[in-house]
Amino acid sequence: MIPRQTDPGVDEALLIREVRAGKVESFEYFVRKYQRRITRLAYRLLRDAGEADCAAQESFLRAYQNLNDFREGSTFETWVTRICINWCKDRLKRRRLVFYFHQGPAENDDDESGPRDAAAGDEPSPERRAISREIRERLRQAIESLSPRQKSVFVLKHFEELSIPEIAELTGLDSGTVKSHLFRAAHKIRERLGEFRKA
Amino acid sequence: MHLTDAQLFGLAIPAAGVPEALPPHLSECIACSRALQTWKGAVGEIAGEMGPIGARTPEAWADAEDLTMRSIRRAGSIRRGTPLRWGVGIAASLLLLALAVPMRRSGSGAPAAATPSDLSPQDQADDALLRDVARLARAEETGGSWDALVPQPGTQTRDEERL
Repeated sequence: MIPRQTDPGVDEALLIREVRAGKVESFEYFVRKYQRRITRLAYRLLRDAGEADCAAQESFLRAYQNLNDFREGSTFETWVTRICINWCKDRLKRRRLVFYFHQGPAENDDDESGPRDAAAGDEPSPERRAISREIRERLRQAIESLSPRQKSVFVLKHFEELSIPEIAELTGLDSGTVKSHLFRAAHKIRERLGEFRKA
Repeated sequence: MHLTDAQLFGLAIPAAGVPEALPPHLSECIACSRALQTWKGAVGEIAGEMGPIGARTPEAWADAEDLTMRSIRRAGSIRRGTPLRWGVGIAASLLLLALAVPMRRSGSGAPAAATPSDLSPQDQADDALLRDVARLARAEETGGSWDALVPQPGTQTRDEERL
């Protein structure tokens, strides 16, 4: 019988050994336990529900097919998350290429009203909501302008709220490089926000 | 002077990943303090945005998981481990090498080295000169005399005659 993801004390290493020995059903435990989290992470990176589902499914399939390369000292969650991040990075790279060749570089938002100006006064609640919406839109566009690697590091830090060492483990980068990517990502977003204000 | 969008963003999402010290202006300016809250709220909302995935029912999740399991079952058995794959690759390369070396030795493909009789007189003279230079270098290393290869005045070497 396959253990449920809520069962306490499930020995994941044992389940992995069973899958390696040919018991595919044992893999279901991992799918049931981690697919939602992996799909949400993929959605944060790709901002497309269909692609996020595809990323999650593909990540589990790759994890299964390459299970013999999985090291016992690691956790399955880290292993499948890393596969998912790499899949999403490849997808983002391809998307950027397609975007560049079909549409050219991103255009700035041409909405003239600035969130800062509006926030300075004592606005009623609908206006405040509008400001928040505008900031979200500008921020989202600025995040989309990041390179795939910068974006994945940024999302893992600020949206998934992971620590630098955790991000380093998931991305295969060292901590210094993660910090450097984070810094560059934040700098690039600030620059983009500056461009928005000028526009 | 109010804080700019970029400054507010820097406070809402610090570049180094650790909170930065708040500027004194924030404690004096209600508008900027409120704007910072708006920025932080916007960041939190983006982080929490899950689009259609956020509204997915447990049944829809179960369907997605079933789909993944179906694709895994279709994929069949798991692949061999990397060390084994590398081992097979290395063994295949060695086998090819072992087959290629005897073929090369049997002279089926490579042209035979030219014999001195096949060379033109000019080439033979060049070879002789090169041999002399090599001998000269060896003599220098072993402390031999340069005179050994210097022709005596008034005499001609065989090579010079040929040239």
